[in-house]
Amino acid sequence: MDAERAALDARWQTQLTDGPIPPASRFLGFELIAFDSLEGWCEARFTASEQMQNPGGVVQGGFVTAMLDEVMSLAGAVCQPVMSWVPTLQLTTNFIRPMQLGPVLGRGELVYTSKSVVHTEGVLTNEAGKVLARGVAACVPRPLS
Amino acid sequence: MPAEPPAGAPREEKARRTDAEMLARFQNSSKRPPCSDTLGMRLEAVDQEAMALTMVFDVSDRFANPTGAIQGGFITAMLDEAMSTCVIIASNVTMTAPTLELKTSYLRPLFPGAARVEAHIVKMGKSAAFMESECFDPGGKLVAKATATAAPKPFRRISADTVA
Repeated sequence: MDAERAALDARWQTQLTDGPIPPASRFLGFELIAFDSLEGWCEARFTASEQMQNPGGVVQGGFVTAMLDEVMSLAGAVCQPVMSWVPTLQLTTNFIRPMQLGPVLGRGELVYTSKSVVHTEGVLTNEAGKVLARGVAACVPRPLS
Repeated sequence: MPAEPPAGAPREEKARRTDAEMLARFQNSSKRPPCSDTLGMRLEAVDQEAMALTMVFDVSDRFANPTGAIQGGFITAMLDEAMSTCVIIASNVTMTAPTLELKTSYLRPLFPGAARVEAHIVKMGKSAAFMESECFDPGGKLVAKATATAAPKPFRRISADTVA
C-alpha cells in the first residue's frame, strides 16, 4: 500500500470512528467494524430501534434501505483515489426476511468504479447470520474539495 | 378494485368507505405505527378509484447525511410508507403488503423541512401488488421516484416477538 493510500485510510478511519457522527448514521446506530480501501468493502453494525417499526412490529423497509445505503456508499467512497463522497443515483433493495429490533450487521462492497460511476452491492444480516436484505446501487464519485 | 378477503375468512367483506371516511380513519387513528410518527407522516388525500394517495412529511434533520441533505434511505422510507398504505387502503384495510423489492431513483437532494409523496397502485393482484411513487420538495421539484413490488397478506397487528 502506498503512502497516499495509507494517509487516506487514516483520514477515513478517524472520520468514521472519532469524528462527529452524521445525524442519519446516529439514527441508525451506525458503528464501524472495518473497511478495506484496496478490496473495496466496508462493514458496520446498526441498531434497529422501536422508532423504525411498521404496523407488523418489524422495521419499515426504508430504514432497512438506509442501513444498506450507509455501508454501500462507504464501500464506494473509501476506495476513491481522493477523499470523496458518492451520492446514490439509484438503489434497489430486496427485502428477504423481516428485520426485528436489535443489532444488524451490514456489509457494502464495491463492484466497479471509474471516474464517473460507482457500482456497489450490500447485504444486511442478523446475529444468527441470516440474510435480511440485499441492495444494488449506482452512484457517482464526487471529490471533496 | 377492492382485494377479496382471504380464503376462509369468517367475516364478510367490510362495507366500502368513502374517500373522506378513509382519510378520516387514518388521520384520527390512535394506533399509528412508530415509523409513521418518526417520519412525521400525514395522509393528505385518498382517491380509492384511482388507487392513489398523497402524504406530506415533516422531514427531520435527524435524517441528514454529512452534506446536510437527507440520506437516501430515509427518502425511500417516505416512499415505502406511501406505497404500502396504498395497498392497505385498496384492500379496504383487510390486507397489509410486505415489500419484496423497492427501487428508488434519487434525482435531487432533499433537505430537512417538508416533502410531499404521491403514490399509486399499478396493479393489485391476490398474490402481488405493484406500486409507483414520487417525492417532491417544498418547491414542487421531483426529488425521487420509486417502484415497488409487494406480497399482500391478511392484515393483523403483530408484536415483534410473534413474527416468525
